[in-house]
Amino acid sequence: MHKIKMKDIPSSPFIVNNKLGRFFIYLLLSIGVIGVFAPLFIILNVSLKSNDEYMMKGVYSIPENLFNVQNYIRAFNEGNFVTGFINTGILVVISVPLAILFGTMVAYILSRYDFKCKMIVYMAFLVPTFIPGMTVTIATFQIIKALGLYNSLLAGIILYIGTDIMQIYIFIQFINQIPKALDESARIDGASRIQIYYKIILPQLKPAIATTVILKMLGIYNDFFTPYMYMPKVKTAATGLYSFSGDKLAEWPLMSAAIILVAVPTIIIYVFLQKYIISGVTDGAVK
Amino acid sequence: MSSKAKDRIIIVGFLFIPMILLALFSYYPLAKLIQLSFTDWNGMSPNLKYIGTRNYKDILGQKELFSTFSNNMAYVLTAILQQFAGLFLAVLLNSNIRMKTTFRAVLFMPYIINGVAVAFMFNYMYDYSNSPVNLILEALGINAVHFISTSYMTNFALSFISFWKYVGYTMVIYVAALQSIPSEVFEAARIDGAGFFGTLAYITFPNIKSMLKVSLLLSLNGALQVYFEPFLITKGGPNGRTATFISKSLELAYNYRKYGKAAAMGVILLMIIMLLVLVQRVLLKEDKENA
Repeated sequence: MHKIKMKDIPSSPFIVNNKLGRFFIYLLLSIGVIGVFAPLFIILNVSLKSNDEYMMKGVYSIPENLFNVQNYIRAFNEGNFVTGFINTGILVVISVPLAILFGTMVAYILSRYDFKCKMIVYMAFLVPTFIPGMTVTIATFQIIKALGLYNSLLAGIILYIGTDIMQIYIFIQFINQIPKALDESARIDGASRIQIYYKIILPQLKPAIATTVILKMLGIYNDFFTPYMYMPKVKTAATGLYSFSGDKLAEWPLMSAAIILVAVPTIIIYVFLQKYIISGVTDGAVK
Repeated sequence: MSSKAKDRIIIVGFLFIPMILLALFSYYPLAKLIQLSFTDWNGMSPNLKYIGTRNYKDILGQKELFSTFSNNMAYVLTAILQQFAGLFLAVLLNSNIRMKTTFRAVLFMPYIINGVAVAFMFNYMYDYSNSPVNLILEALGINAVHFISTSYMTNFALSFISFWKYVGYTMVIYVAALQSIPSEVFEAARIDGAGFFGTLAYITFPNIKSMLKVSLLLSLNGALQVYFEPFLITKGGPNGRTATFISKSLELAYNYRKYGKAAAMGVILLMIIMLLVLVQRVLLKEDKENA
């Protein structure tokens, strides 16, 4: 009943009838599409060439062997991507469910209960959404060190759980749309408040949770700063790729393969879950 | 036990851990940052020596500060351009064409690609000798360009990377905003004989004006916090040519152990951003009252 609206771009209000106008619209959008794909295809092309081939024939020639995975194998080993992908996986698997659990719990309390300091609690969660994380890095770093979490996966896990506050407001909006009558009838049937949370509220929140999970997964996978700053010795996919900077940076075929290796997982997820990702992003931004 | 007491237990129980995390990772760092900004802490010594407002005076009295801000200006300009490009694409996408969903999906895609991968990809595109871009320029008879150099233009080259990554995101947001305009309004304009540009000027813009203002402020906010591209590609160099406010403060702390000064820079930036948020709130309120 509270399904996320799939924003298939609906009826077109902006009617352009003349052929030339429509031609220009297609032309401009196609230029955009080329702009997106061109750099990606160029590095894909280069990643399939050996160093010698790249030296001799350059960027734009078609690779002699389209199935030359040598660069990928080397990149995979030299970037320690097995460890990187496993660590990223651990961060996602532990942080995402806990962040969602805490987020929905806070949202449930703030939207279904009235209590004395409610406004204070609400403001306490609201204010930090305006504090950009980058500005307080130096101080956060001190805490992570003091807690003994520096260079441990726990640093990433606890920061991903503890600093995502925006999701609470998205959950509150969704919970407010769930009729209170549902809670009431469950109460009459003898359900406790905790049972209402996980038997009524959580199931109703499924669509919101699904998009949040996807977006958080992408966010953690793509995050460079947290692992780089707080756990530099524990490589993730992003910091593994970063370790290629330096002299290897100029070995373009190898570099291109490493870039593709790190870029492809989210692109695959995007191909399948594109609608959820786009509607999740718009729900978060247009409020 | 009364139901009131039970409720209280649930409230406390549900909020307990989130509140601790909030205090530990949002409020404590903020307090710590402000405290450090009044010290000359080097990251090592166990006790803090307070030096009053010297860090602030130092920063505000330095020319360097303005040169880093002027580097940020390149990102601000690009961010503004990105807003209009995103809006433009959204308007195109919101017309009666086919394959909308496909166009939208492709243009949005860069947003989900790993930032390090994107930065390194452009580092390759921008390479001087035999880079993909310069090869094309030379084939067209244009001289090769030093994208990454000592000139101010390097900042634009770096800021274009985030343009590429985020313009589709901006577009998607504006598509959603445009769809909130009732289609009868467009219908009426069409019957009255308004053309493409007439509709744009009299229907589209006035209807998303407040959205436009907020987005511009948000992008300004983002442009002030840029660090990623210079950090990954140029390390702020050569000679601070591409250092942004944040990358400069990180460098002060982690390379020169001037934590106090770096903290003061964080506080200054925080105050500027808070001011922007305030302006944004006021603008939104005005729009609501006028509506």
